[in-house]
Amino acid sequence: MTMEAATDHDSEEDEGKPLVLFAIEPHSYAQAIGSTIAHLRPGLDVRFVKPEDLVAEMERRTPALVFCDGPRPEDCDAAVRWAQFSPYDEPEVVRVDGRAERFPGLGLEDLLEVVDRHSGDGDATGYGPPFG
Amino acid sequence: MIRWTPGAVQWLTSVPTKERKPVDRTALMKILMVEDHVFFSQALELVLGRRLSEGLLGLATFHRAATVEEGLRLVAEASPFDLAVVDLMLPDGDGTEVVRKIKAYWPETRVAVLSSIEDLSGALEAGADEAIRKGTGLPEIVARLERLASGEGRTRA
Repeated sequence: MTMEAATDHDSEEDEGKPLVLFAIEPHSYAQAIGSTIAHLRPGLDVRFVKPEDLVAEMERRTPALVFCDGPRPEDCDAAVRWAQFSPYDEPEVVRVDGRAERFPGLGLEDLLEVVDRHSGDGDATGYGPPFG
Repeated sequence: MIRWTPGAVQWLTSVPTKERKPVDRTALMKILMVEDHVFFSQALELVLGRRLSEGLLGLATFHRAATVEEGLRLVAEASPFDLAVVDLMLPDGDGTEVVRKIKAYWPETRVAVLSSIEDLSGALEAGADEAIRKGTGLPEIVARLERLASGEGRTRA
């Protein structure tokens, strides 16, 4: 299984934080988004995982939020928020638990907004996006 | 203003202390990013910019385009660039056109193409100095762009 943490944080410390998983192809996209969100939301445990390893990782530890380019599995834990994002098929749409949210010119600040609303991160600073 | 949290993303941005040299903060590196996935362009700017400023090359300014048309306009109006990073699959055409234009007028500009497609030979024939597949991990992408920005030789995808 290929799973990488987005930060150099101690794993024990991360266990208490809401887990956000990124399982988007290409892998560099998952890493790019995840790394940036990890920068800006230190209250989250952000990890990238290959889509084929997602189920196993979710069994290891239940995430608060999953970003995936595929639909939510039918047997997925109801407590998990599922954000379907397909950069090549629908570059301006994020489907959260099946409901489409459209973001014209989707940027990092939009993805950060989705994370803030659905990750359960009580430490989200709420300050504006990093890119003007 | 970006607020950096201590220790975050060290695997992407750390440069061993012994390798660091005094940086000329007055020499801004000018980088063109032609990429239609804005979030990826933003994230790459963030990581690459940080890497360059912590390393040997100083601060960088980024100029963004999301289409071939915008890319060509920036090449015409804002050149020369030190480095250009061009996605081959753009909404209004093939990024190879941007590569060709840059190399025709500013051959000293170092050009890297990024793409999800397998065959990058056309971009290399057009003059690109680096061809990187997006399936490559982000640390490798950033490392190769940094090497290219520093003036090191061309590598294959």
